Amino acid sequence: MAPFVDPSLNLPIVVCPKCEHVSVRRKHPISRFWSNARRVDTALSIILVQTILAGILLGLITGMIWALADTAIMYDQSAIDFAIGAFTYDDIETSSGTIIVRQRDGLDIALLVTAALCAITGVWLTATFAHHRLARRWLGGVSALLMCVSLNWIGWGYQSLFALITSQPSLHGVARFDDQFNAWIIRVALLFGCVVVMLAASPIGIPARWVLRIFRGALWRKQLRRARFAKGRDE
Amino acid sequence: MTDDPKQAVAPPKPAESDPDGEITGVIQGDRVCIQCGFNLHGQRIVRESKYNLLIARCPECGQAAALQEYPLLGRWSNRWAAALAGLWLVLFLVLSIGTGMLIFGLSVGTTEISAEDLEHTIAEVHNAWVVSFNPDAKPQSHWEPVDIHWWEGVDKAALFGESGGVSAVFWRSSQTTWIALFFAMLVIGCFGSVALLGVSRVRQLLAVLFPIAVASAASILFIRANITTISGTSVRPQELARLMIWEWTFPTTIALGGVFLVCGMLLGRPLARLIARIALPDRFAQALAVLWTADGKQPPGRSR
Repeated sequence: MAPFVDPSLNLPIVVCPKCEHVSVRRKHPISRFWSNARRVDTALSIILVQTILAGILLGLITGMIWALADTAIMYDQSAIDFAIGAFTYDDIETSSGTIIVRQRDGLDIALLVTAALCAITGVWLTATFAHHRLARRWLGGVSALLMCVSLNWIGWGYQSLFALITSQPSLHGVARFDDQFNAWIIRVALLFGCVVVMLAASPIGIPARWVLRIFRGALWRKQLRRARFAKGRDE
Repeated sequence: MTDDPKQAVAPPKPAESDPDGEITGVIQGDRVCIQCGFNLHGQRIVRESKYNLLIARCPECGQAAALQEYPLLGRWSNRWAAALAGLWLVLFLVLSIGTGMLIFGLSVGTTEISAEDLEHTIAEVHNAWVVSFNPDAKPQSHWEPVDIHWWEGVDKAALFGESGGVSAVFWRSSQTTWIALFFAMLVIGCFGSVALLGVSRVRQLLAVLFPIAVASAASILFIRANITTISGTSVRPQELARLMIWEWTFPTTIALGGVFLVCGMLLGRPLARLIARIALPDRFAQALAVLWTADGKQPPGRSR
């Protein structure tokens, strides 16, 4: 029996000609299962892509900050002096009196790569996390980065705790608190610079979001056209 | 996701009314709107006056969702459901046994690593004993066998204390295998918590006992097999050291494995919800509403 669409309910209604029982014609549960599975698949795909991107960007930025901070410690420099000096191509004198040519180490390239990664992160946060409020989005991003550059405290705390519990601090060298703190301060200073670059690049995320929306819309229309074409062919 | 009106309908509240008709209950399962995909969980079910049909209106787009269904025409859906349930059970058993064997493997690794100090001490004390009656004897390394008759007369507690005792064992374990155990069990626990969405918290925590039992059984078999292999006149310090510390490393590592697994189980769902909330707009998060409804929480974007 062909159903008629009730205008008030917008549902395909079927009335039994014998007993006049009213039912709604619905899709078979198998086809409905697949449409639900597709929706879950889309959601999981977005989560997967976003998680991978977050992992890559967080990992790369944290790695660069960590490496740059270690180099700054090696050169016995503060984070700001180190960042400015990296582009001067001058020899510098450390407290131990050693002369080092910065240019050889490619520090300027390392800083530029870090800045580029931060810019990409800023655009990515603005373009794909528009469903969060601005403050929450940035607070989340900066907190995640701060957590990553502070991971040394977890390792240090864990080692110190077990050294205390088991009275075995001499078996493995537990790093001193002062050294940990100084390294962490340099990393946080570098992170601050990264956040500034991210914020500066974030306006590019707004047109990027439009482009993504247009692309998604085009994809959806294409799928719809295909589905309508297939339906017309079946009928 | 439930489509059975009996399961989906809560007890009626006769006093309430709706422009469409009499309110008979609310949708308690997950049911997405056929027009916009909004999750209708918690929406009012109304018996509309025109056709006497049970419907629920989508609060986002206003589309009516019918709650009456035809019975299934074929039996294949039930067969597929039974096959999937069986497959799921097999997968659960395999993963549980795998988790148990992973805990067991890490217990063996913990014992191996933590025995290093003790085996060096055994070799040193044995060398001193050999030199005491043969001053020209060449010192043996820690992997060369020692005299089992000498070993039977040794004060084992003093030897263990000399190598650092239990604290040294736990220190070494905490810096090596226990870290791996922590991360592995946390990830498995989180996965298990989300995979067992339909299961209550208490039963989920009971499910942790299965891999622990597997790990314990494998450990007992392993230790028994190792004890019986020590025979003859000589034995390697490594084996003696392992046999001395297994009573500390195996129970501790297995118990810690259980604790980390429970932590993962407790963290899994909130973590999954947090990731979904961060990564997905509400529109897409609706597809994963079961993560919220399984724990009796409101899915994101709910507007009553």
